[in-house]
Amino acid sequence: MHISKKSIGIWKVIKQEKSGYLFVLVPLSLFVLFGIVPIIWSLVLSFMQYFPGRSYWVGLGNFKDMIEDDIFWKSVKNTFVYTLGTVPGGLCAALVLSNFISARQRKVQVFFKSAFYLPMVASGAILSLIWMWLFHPFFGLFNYMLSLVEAGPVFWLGDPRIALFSLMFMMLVTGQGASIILLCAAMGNIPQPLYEAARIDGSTKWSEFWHITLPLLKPTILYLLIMGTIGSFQIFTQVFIMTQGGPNYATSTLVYLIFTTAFNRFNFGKASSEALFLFALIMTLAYIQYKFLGGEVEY
Amino acid sequence: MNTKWRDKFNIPSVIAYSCLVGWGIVSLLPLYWTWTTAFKYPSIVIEMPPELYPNPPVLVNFIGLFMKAKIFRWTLNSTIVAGSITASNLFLGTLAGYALAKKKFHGRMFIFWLIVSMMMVPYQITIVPLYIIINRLNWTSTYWALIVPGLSFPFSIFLMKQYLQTLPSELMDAARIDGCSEFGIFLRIIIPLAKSGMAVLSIFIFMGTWNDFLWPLIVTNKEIMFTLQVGLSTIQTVFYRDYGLLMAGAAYSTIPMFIVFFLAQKYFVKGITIGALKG
Amino acid sequence: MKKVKKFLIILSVMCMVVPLVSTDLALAKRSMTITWWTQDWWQGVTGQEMLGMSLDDPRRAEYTGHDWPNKIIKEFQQLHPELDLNIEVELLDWTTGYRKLDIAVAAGYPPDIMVSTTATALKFATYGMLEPFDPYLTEEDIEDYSLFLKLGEVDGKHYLLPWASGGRTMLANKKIFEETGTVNLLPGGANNPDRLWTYEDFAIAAQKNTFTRSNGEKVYGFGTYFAGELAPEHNELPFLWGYGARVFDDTGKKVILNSEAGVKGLQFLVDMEYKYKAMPPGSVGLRGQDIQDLWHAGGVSMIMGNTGSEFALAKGLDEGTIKPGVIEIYPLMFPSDLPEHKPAVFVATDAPMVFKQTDEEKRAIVVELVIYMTNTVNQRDHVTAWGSLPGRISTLEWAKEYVWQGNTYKEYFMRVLKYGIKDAVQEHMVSIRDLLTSMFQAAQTQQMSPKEALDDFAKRANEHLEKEAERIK
Repeated sequence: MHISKKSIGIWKVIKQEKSGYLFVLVPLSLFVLFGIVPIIWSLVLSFMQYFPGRSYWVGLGNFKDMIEDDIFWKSVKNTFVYTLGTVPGGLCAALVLSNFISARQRKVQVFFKSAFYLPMVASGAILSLIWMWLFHPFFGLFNYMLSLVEAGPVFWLGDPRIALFSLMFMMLVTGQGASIILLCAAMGNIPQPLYEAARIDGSTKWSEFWHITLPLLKPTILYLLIMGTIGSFQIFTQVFIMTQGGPNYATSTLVYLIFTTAFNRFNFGKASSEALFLFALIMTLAYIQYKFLGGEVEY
Repeated sequence: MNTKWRDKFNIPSVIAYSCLVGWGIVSLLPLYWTWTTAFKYPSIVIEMPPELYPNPPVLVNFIGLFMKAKIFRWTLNSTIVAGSITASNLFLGTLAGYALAKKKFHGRMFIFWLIVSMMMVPYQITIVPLYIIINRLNWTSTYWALIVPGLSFPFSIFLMKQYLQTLPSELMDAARIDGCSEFGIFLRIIIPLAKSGMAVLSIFIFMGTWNDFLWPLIVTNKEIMFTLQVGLSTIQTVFYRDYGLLMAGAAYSTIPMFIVFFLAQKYFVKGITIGALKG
Repeated sequence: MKKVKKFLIILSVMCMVVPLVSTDLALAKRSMTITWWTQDWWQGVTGQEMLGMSLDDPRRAEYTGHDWPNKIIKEFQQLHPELDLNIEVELLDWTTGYRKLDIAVAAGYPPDIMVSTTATALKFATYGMLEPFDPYLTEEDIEDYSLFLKLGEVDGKHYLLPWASGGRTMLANKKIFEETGTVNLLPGGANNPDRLWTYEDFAIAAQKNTFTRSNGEKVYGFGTYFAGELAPEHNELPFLWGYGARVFDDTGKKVILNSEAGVKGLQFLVDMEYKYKAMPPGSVGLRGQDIQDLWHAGGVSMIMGNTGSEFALAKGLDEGTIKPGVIEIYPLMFPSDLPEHKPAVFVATDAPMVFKQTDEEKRAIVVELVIYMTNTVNQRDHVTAWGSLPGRISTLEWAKEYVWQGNTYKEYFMRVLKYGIKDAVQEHMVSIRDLLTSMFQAAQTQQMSPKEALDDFAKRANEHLEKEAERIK
């Protein structure tokens, strides 16, 4: 807000606040029923042993169980490695590619944006199936290409030392469509005169990117970082379909563990405490990111 | 003459193009594979090494798919569900996103963090209570169950908030001074400016809802209420995986998203020149 | 005028009678809704309807997995004219269907009837969510179901009614053995009708049938998988059982797999890949579907098969999804440490189960429906449609006489039912499956030695079982 409250008068402030509340009212009431109630339900469950109709309290028992479980810690580690590899790396790749794209003519732009985004229209399950074929130990395309240079075969998903990195590679390559679309949209919103002014001052492409584009993309980058962190901390479908957390827990991630705890072992209490841990973890990271990058951007 | 040539084919430009093309090929490969496999004869599909293109292309998988009489009903259901969820998220997401980005009111940051934090709880754990709520409301196998929980995703508000934050506040202040009502500002100033963000949002929401599987699977018990993804999962045989049929279904289900993508993309390639105010 | 009068009289009479009749009916007929969820078994009533139809024949669309349940429902409703029975059937597919069931059960809205696998029944029975059938079974029923009834036993009560049953053994592709001229290595003949063999014989046969074809295609002697939705009791555990190892002790509540016999069996599986090189390298990354594809392409000589494999092959050939002339199946036993130890295999029954009921009257009807669908006559349908063994001895007798005459494949599976062991279908198997899977993966990737992997597994599994006993109470 650039106009100070004093100059408008107190009644106008109240009126402004009222419209603010009104505008968020409908989504908020939907969230209460379909978001917050289920979340509180699972929060309560983390202190219980749950069986439909005959649950009982266990205090901190589920948390104790969780902390003593070394598979849980292995899953936490895997989730961190996965996120650190895919989120910052993916963002850099998306920035570079978007910068390449937005410098092109309109038609070329449309073509490349479509090329990067369209693959995402297939469901995660189908994409996973196709990538499994690419990674296939004897019939996969990757090992076929390696065999042409007399290398391999590499067991992309079967080798516990490699499997997690294979999943990361897949997400890094195919997961950037949405980021590219958003970054391009945001780049399109940057006022051209800013660049023109810089060019008059004799700036280079690099310094334009560093001093104009990047700062003005901050809200989008922050959004992508937070969403990327949330998304990659919750990676599930690919693990579920492609590796089932294996081999020997090499690709077991937190949400996959939550899923198996809840459904394979029917232990919703422990699954809820694992989910609570995950929540705290993502929340902390998102908050740090927000503090670091979240200053209001205006121009 | 010489400079023009150099402008077009300088080294950075060549590097840029080869990056774009290489990355593009890898990312298009799965889609290419889906569509070509859908046109291959089923027995050839499992043959290794695979054929790179269908030779000759056959329609047997698509005929097998369309024989399932309800596929049009499933498509209709998916269109209704994804369409109404997208429309509602566009409106509510932009409205709330605008309020959180540009309006100052008490509890704003609390609401913002509430919305962000709701995205951090994995659905694997909230799906059971959500299912109980839908059952208590007696909504099983109705459009209500498919649509209402998705009317406003936290994600859309977050996206629109971040997007609208980049707009200059002077525009709204100027309109306010001209005596425009708050909702009028939203309709006449924010929506036109938010178009490219809304176009992006509509693709994300439509795609996410169209491909959603687990939720429609558990809340629909009648074949007539299945969404396309749920319906497609029911036509697989148990004896072996029929890749042809699977890929034909996958290919068919991507068509509406191509349409939405090409409808929406013209809004966000334009971008909007809003530099005039700041000068 | 007269006509109008007549009409009015009739109308008034009707107005009086109709409500009378209808309230009368409503009083007499109790209405009852039963939900019947089932995995997707076969299309059509007999499953034979589509034989010979090409894949793009539009008539195929007429047949669905609802046909057989609908037939049963119709007959059952006629048996109960006094009831207004509304039976809702829902088909669940074989992967995501389990998720749907899990969520519905966890939310407290399970179906009344679920027709699924033994493992599913045991899982929910352990958590006290199913109705035991014991109060409703006659002596005759118990005798007739006796081949498989014990599989669904938890603490002395029975939670499933045996239906589509069968076992798992190994299959050899005789075409490949002919290619290598080693058919004589396959066990069989008049004095070995169970087709038993030792680990040494098996390893030799697998090695001899691992080769590269002139066109560069690689063929492996034996293929199994360690990834995907793995049930190690089907494929991998028989190699440990063959040395006499067992997962559980007699109580079914303690894991004892880390025995000397267990180590030997696990070592043998590892050796098949690394020492004898008769298994695809990187097997740990393979899923069931990969091995199936390889098998259908003639790229593996021996895999695991089941009672329905012959039927599935015939169906694939009929529909053109499997190429003719590539496979000739020959069922045979997993190797074992003869003569000390006989082989052991996974035998189970897919069967209906009934979730806990609150209404006494409804419970009786639901159980009656389940007994009806698994009666002697109705068991015949899955035998012909699905290729499985019936869950009743009386139907088995019928099948031997009228369906499987001279079918050596089915005869073989009936022979080997006797090698089925309870160890494969213990009530806690499902909840330790992921630990078991990881154990096999750790050993097969040589991250751990077989001994280390087994000890680690036993420790984890026993800790888990102790906690589980505490949790369920």
